Amino acid sequence: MDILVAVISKFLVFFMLLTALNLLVGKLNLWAFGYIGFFGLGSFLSVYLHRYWGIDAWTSLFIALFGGLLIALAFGRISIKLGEKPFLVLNLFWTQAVYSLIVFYGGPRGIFGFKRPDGFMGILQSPAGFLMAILLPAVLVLSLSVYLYARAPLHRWAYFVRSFPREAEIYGYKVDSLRTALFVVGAFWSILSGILYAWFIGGTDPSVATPYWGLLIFALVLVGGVDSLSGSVVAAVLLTVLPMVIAKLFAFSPKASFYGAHISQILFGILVIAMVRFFPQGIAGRRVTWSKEGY
Amino acid sequence: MLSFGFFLVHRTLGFFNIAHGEFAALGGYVFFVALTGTSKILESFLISIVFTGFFLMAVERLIFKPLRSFPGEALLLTSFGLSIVIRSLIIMLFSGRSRGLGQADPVLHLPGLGPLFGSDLAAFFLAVILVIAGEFFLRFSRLGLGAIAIGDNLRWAVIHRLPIERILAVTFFISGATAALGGALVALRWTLETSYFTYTIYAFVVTMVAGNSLAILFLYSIGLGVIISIANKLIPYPLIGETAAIFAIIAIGLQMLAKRRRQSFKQTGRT
Repeated sequence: MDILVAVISKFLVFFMLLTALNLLVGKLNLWAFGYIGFFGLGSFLSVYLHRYWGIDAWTSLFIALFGGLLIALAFGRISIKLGEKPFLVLNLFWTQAVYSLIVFYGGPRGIFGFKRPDGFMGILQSPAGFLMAILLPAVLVLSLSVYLYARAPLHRWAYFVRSFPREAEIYGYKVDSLRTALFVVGAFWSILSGILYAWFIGGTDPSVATPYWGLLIFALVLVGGVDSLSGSVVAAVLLTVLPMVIAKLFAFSPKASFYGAHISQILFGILVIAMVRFFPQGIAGRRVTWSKEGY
Repeated sequence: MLSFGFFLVHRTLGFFNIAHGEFAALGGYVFFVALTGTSKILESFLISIVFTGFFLMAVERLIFKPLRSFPGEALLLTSFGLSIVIRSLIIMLFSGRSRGLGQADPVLHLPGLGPLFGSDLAAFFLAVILVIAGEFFLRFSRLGLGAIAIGDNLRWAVIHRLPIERILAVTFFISGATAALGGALVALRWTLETSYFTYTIYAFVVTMVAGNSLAILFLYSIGLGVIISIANKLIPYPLIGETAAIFAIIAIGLQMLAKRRRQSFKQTGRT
C-alpha cells in the first residue's frame, strides 16, 4: 500500500511538472529546458528556509512560490525578448545555475530532515494523507485550469502568436508579453511541483535538477504528446511507473536489477528516436512539436 | 576539440548533437580498451579516432539520414535519445564508475598556475592545428564548402548535385574523430567517465555564441577553460566556478549578438 501511495504521489508531482512544460511547448512552441530549474528552485527554497532559517513549512512554501515567480518573471521577460537561440542557452544555463546552488548549499545528496506541517489534523504527516489532501487537489486544479484554458480566448491568441508571430505583432498583440505570461504560469506550476516533491520526499534531490533532466523532461513531453493533457499523463507514466515495472521484472538478482535499469533507459532512448521518426506528434499529442500549425 | 566536432555538425545539418559527449566517452573507452591491449598510447589514439569516426558515420547513415528533411529540433531530440542509448550501453559494458588512466609526471611547473602535463600541451597544440586545418577545410576545400552549402540550404545543395552523402560522411567522421580525441585526452588528463554531458553543454554554449566562426569558437573554448580554471581556484566549489564561467561566456556572446544586430540594422534597416 505504501509503495502504491509513493508511486502515485511521484506520478502526480511529475505530472504537474510535465503539464507545465507541455503548456508552454504546446501553446507557444517555447522550448523551456529550464523548467526543471524552477522545479529544483522551488524544492530547494522551501526546504532551505524551513531547515536553516526556522520558517514554518507553509510560510516557506509561499515565500518559495512567490520568490520563484518573481525570478521567473524577470528571467522569462529577458530571455524571451532576446530571441529563440539565447532563450535556449539561457534556459540551460539557468538549470546549471540552480543545480550548482542546490549542491553548494546542500551537498550532492541534498538537504534532508524536512517535516511536513502538522495542519489538517495531522493528516499531512502520512503519505496517503498528503496525497489526498494536497497533491490530488493541486493536480485537479491544474487539470481544470488547462481544460478551461483550452476553451478560453487566450488559447486562440496563443495559437495566433505561435503560428503567425509577425502578423500577431502587426495586429497589435503583445507577443513577448503573452509568451512571458504563459512562461510565468508554467513556472508557477513547476515551482509548486518542486515544493510538493520536497514535501513528499522530505528534502531536496539535486539529481533531478540537472540540465540532463531538463532535456529528459522535455523529451518525455514530446514522446507523451504535445498540447494534450493525456500526453502529460503518458509522459508521467513513462517517467514513474514504467521504470518501476521493469525494475520489478528484473528484481531476481542484483546484477539483473542493474541491467534492468539500463535496459529501461535504452528502451526509452529507442522510443524517443522512433517517435521522432514515425510518430512526431507523440503517443497522445494533438500536433507535431515543431510544426507551427495545428490547433 | 570537443566543441569543434559539435560546431561542425551544427554548421552542416543545423542541429545540436546532444549525444556528442557520449561519443567522446565512447572514444575514451575505446582508447582505454586499446591501451589495455596494446600499451601504446599513439596506436590507442589512432584506434579510438578511427573507430569513433566510423561509428558516427554509421549513426548518421542509419539514424540521421531519414530525418534530413526534418527541422533541427527533430534531430536534436533524436540525438538526445541516442545519447541515452549510448550512455546506458557504456555503463552496461564497462560499469558506471569513473576510471583514472594514470598520468605521467608533469613536464612543467607554472608558478601560480600549477603543473602542466604532456596531455595539456598535446591538447593545446592539437586544438590549434585543428582550428587552422578546420578553417582551411571549410573555406578552401570542396568538401568543406559543400558542408557549408548544405548547412545554408540543403535543397539548393541537392539541386546543384553536391555529393551530399560523401560530404556528410566526412563531416561526421571528423566530428567523431575529434570527439574521440577529446574524450581520450580528458580521460588521460582527468578521469574516464561514462558520459561527458557537461562538455556537451560547454560545446553548446560556445557554438551558440560563436556563430559561424571557427576562430571565435576556439577563442571562446579557450576562454571558457581559462575562466573555469581561475574560478575553481578562487571559488573552492567546482560547480559554482563552472556556472560562473558559462555565465561569463553567455554574457560576452549576448553582447556580441547585440552588436551584430545593431550593425545589421544600420546596414539594412532590419535586425
